[in-house]
Amino acid sequence: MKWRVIPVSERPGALNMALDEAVSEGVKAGTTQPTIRFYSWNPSCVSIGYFQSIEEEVNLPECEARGIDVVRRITGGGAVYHDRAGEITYSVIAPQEMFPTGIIDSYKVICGWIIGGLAELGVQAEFKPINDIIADGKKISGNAQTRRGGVLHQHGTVIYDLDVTTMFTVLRVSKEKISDKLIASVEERVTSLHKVCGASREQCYAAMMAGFTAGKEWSQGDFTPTELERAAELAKEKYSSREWNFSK
Amino acid sequence: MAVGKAVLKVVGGKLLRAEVEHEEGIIKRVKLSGDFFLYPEEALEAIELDLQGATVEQVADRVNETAKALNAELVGFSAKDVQAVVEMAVSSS
Repeated sequence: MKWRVIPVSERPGALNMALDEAVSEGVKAGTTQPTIRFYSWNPSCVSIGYFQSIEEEVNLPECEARGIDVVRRITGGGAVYHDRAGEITYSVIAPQEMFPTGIIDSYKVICGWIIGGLAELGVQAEFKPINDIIADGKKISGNAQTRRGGVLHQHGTVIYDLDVTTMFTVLRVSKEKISDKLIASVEERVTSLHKVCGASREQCYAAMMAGFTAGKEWSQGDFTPTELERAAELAKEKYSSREWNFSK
Repeated sequence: MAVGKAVLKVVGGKLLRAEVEHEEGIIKRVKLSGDFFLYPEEALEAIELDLQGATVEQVADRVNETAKALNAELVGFSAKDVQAVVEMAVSSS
């Protein structure tokens, strides 16, 4: 099946999540091609997993003071700080039957595309179940998947640059804990493309595009007017709502 | 009625938080959260609901039964981990 690949664009968190859902609805209805999209977050945003409590995970006053959005995802997994310039985010939305039945096996397939992209940059990386990719023994990519109505939807981030201080200010860690020791320990566990290969963000994006499209029949596309209209509605009614974001 | 909270990091898995209301050894209400995965996601509500009226010792079996009935798959945690975190929450209160 031919893929639609939507080039990177930046949007607020609620709209990014809404676009994923609007595309999923189209794939479910059979009106939309399998889609790969790249995106970033403007403003920077914290996303929390479907099963997480926003109040447990996020320092909401700090987010507000810094103009950082907060949105709950439709996927499980952990809270992520999406720095506007610090990462490349993707979504893959396609009929479930295009992927292995096993959850971990399907993570492995899509994470394999990322690993292929990293290889273009000379970075050797490997899939670490459940949902991480590691390079040099450190996490460089986090991923999360859901399956609804026969549609597989996986999104994830490839860390380009890491702002540990902001990350641990907006994720809910008490101020006393933002000590040099904690930051040092996070830096030991997480890495970034900038650190491991020194490539520019544009080079990293080009490599990801190559990794995701290799061996596929694809063409560059954009969201349809219907998807954009539906996404605007979902962003407003669902992903910006207290009912959704504070439901746990 | 007592309310207890606990957090459990599953070894090689995800983090589970539980808030448990209980009375005389019986669970009245459970709220589970964390960075785990569960397919389909909506199964969590059923799991929480089906734990009402259970004793701590029955938690793992009930979670397994509900998951089986809904064809749900737990990823990053197990029914035994749910029992462990519920037990910790009850002990803490």
